[in-house]
Amino acid sequence: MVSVSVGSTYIPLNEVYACITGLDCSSNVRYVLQYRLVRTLVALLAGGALATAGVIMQGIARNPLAEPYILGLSSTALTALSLAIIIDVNVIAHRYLFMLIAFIGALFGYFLTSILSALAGYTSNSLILSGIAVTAFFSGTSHALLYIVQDRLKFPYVHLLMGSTSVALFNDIYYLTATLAACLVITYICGIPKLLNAYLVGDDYARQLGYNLKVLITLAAFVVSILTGATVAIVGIVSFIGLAAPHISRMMLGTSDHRITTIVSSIVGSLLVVIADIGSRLLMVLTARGEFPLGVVTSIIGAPFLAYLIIVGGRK
Amino acid sequence: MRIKINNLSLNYDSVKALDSITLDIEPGNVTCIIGPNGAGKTSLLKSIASLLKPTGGSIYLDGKDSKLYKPKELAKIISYSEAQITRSIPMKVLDFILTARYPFHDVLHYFEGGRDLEVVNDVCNELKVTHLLDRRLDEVSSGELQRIIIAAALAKRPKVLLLDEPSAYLDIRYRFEVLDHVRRYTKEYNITTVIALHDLHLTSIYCDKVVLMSGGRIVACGSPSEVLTDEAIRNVYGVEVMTIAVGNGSVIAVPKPSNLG
Repeated sequence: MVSVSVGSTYIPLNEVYACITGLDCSSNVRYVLQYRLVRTLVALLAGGALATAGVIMQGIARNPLAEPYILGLSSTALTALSLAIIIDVNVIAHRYLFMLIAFIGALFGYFLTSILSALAGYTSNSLILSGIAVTAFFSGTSHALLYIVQDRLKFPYVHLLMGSTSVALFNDIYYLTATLAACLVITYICGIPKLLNAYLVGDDYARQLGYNLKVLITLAAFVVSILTGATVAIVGIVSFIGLAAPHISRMMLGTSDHRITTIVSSIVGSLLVVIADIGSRLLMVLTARGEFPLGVVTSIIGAPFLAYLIIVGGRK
Repeated sequence: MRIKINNLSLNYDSVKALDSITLDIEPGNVTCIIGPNGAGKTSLLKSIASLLKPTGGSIYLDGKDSKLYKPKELAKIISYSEAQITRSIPMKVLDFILTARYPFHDVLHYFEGGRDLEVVNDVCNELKVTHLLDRRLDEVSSGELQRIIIAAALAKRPKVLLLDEPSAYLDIRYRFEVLDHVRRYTKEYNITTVIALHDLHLTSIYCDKVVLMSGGRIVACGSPSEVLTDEAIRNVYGVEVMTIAVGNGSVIAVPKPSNLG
């Protein structure tokens, strides 16, 4: 509700409430609300997806610093999207195809980072450093491709670079809901939360509990890539949510049992993105400079959090 | 559960980790595997647990080839535990021990039931780790962690217990207590226990049968007093020792550095 009322035109909360419950609704208020409601819902869903991706990623990487953005999945997904736009401009009209391309890009990023990290000896540092290398290369590439894309069509591609809910369409809500719900259901039915609990302890420990690691870890990587791809296709790169949400939920719950943290992280992630989205619109109002990208806000909050985690982790 | 190992071989690339191992392991007995580093102790344990695929030969569990068991069945029967575990994203000790009950769950029993908690409670009391359950895995000492790992291994109520170096980080009191407990448990529930050990003294006290390995082969096999002789240890470890019998069949092996003559 707060999220719906804040924006370039402020609508008092009581009017929002009246309109949503159908009591009294002027047409221009309704128009603004519809637009903002879409944004808010997309922010909720994107946050949930990113946080779920983050918590699973940290599990399969056995690394509390892992996250789709840090490990390069977001950048490769975006690069795949921009290549697709350059090859055929019409792809942006087909959202599911757009999401599929981003998924393939994210999966590519996952394997690239894993291979680099394996070549570097598969320590937790090598994983993060490989991720940073992949992120740097592909965010550079996607920035370069931006110029070509801007020549081809007038598409708010810059929003994807820095993450924004302003380009989301009404139908995206369906796509994101379906993706997030499907991924959560698959994750829980296949027992991935339990697998991750055991896998954190060690490969052999999980295998002596009867888990087929090759199949399940690959499945988990696919889930992460699907979630990352879907969000990148719709809101662009929103960094650090996948890092912060799992940590906040672990701290809140006092446990790292993935059966609970997976679902709680997704809720925390939703709230974080909605708050960041409100923040970006408030910034817009305060500075009167037009739209502030969502990803900028999450980076400003998220990067110090990452630094904090590194310091705490390094002291041990 | 009776384990029959028949002509088992295992190659890592071209290195022979296990070379035609044939061995019978009886239930109700504690069998110790000793030998120098790289002798194949861990490879043998992991092969029995089906964590490594043998290049040749087979392992029979109660007369049935272990390849014919489903992974989930094996997971209920066999516990394999290493000396240490990863603690990168530390969970609660209780949550860790409860993971050992996962093979007994399915999609409908997603969370732990009363039976699981009862078993874990018993095991934790027996191994004196109950006071640690609320801590995180990175907040316990390595000796405490080792008892927690053994508690997790026993929380399966396994028929086959495979322990890799369970005493490495324990102080002298817990070395005796933990191995004593494992031995009592083995006799009481008539399970098959195989332990890879470095400490020859502990081996002589707690094992019914000793398997001495070197270079992937079994060099000697029998009761502690038969296997732990000056000559066998000199041949396998390349160290001059003097074994001193200290009563009840237990043995202390005192190394004599060769450079002192």
